[in-house]
Amino acid sequence: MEEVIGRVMRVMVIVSGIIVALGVVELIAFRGAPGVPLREIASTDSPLNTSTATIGFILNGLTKLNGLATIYFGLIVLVGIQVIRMVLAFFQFLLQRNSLYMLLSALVLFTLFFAIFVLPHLAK
Amino acid sequence: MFSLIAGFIGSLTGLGGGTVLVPVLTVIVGVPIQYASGASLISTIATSNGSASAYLQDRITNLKVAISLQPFVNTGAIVGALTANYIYTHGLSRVIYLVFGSVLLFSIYTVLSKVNSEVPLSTKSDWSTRFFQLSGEYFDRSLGKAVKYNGSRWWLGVTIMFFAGFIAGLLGIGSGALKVLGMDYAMNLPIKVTTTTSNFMIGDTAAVGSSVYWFLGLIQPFIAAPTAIGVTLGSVVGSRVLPKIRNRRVRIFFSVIVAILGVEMLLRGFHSGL
Repeated sequence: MEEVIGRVMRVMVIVSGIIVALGVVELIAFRGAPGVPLREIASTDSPLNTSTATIGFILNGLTKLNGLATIYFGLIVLVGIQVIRMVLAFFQFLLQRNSLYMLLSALVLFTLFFAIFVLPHLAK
Repeated sequence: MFSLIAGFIGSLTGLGGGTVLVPVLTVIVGVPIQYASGASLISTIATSNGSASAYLQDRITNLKVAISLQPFVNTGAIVGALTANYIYTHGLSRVIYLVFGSVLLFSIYTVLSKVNSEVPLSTKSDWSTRFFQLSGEYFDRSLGKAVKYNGSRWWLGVTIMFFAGFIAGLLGIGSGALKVLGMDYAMNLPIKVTTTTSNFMIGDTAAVGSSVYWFLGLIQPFIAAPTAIGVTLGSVVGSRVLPKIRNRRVRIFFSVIVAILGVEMLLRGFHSGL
């Protein structure tokens, strides 16, 4: 069972890498993203960053072959892999009826959700 | 392009991707340090989950050790990432360079002093061993026998791990060296258990750190993308190449490189307020 999980995780890492690579190809092919020329994106001290990457922007951009949105999506998949891994750990302890570790893995999940969903709102 | 190569090499060295990645990106490629840290954090998730070797050793990984420490490491990472943001927005980046240089030089020490015997001498258990069920067993192929161990002094481990998480969030690295210190020295776990378990934990710390970096805007897609691709490639290929290149001479060679990068980071910290 654990080997299956391991293999699935590895494949997902590769998939996220491919999505990110696709995004880079889109950026180069279309010479940038809508409203942002490639030159501006590629500069090392570009002011462009993830603070403008909202869920809406990403979902909207994915279908329009917006390279930036595709890259962001690939990176989110990467973070998602980690969340899934912890959810699986929780269920592993649930099957073992180990309440202490169910609580601890729930705490880990809480820190993840806190960082992903709660903190951005607190900061605003 | 450089980020791609840096990512690839970073994951091959096994020195904990980001530790090499960030200085290479800032010193050689000239990427602003906050974007280098952001790219490195994201890539650390790929290193932790992608390396095949990690899964071959999955039976050595002690999930309980990992999960009992993880909430505190993650909290440390959140505090660290927010501190990093405070530092960047107040123009105090030199602090980052100074801390980073010190961590680099310190990590050389841990790489070179891996003389600590494979298996801990004492297997004494204490109340934390029983409460957190930290005893375990794994089959050591090189020793040809099963090794039993008792993790102890959880409170000391967790203190060091909170600090490790803080450093990870502050600098955008996995801070594997510190994690190994916390588990190997403090909790008396065998080195093989420590390294595999640390590799498991690093990904989660990085996921938390990345999320905070994300909304703070410390991740630049065009820098993060090639780095992540490079690291993914590196971690996939790495499992085949790594066993061949991980001997003593190579370890010393990388230590020299890390030393140079460490001194360079310290100098930047002393000279400029950039």
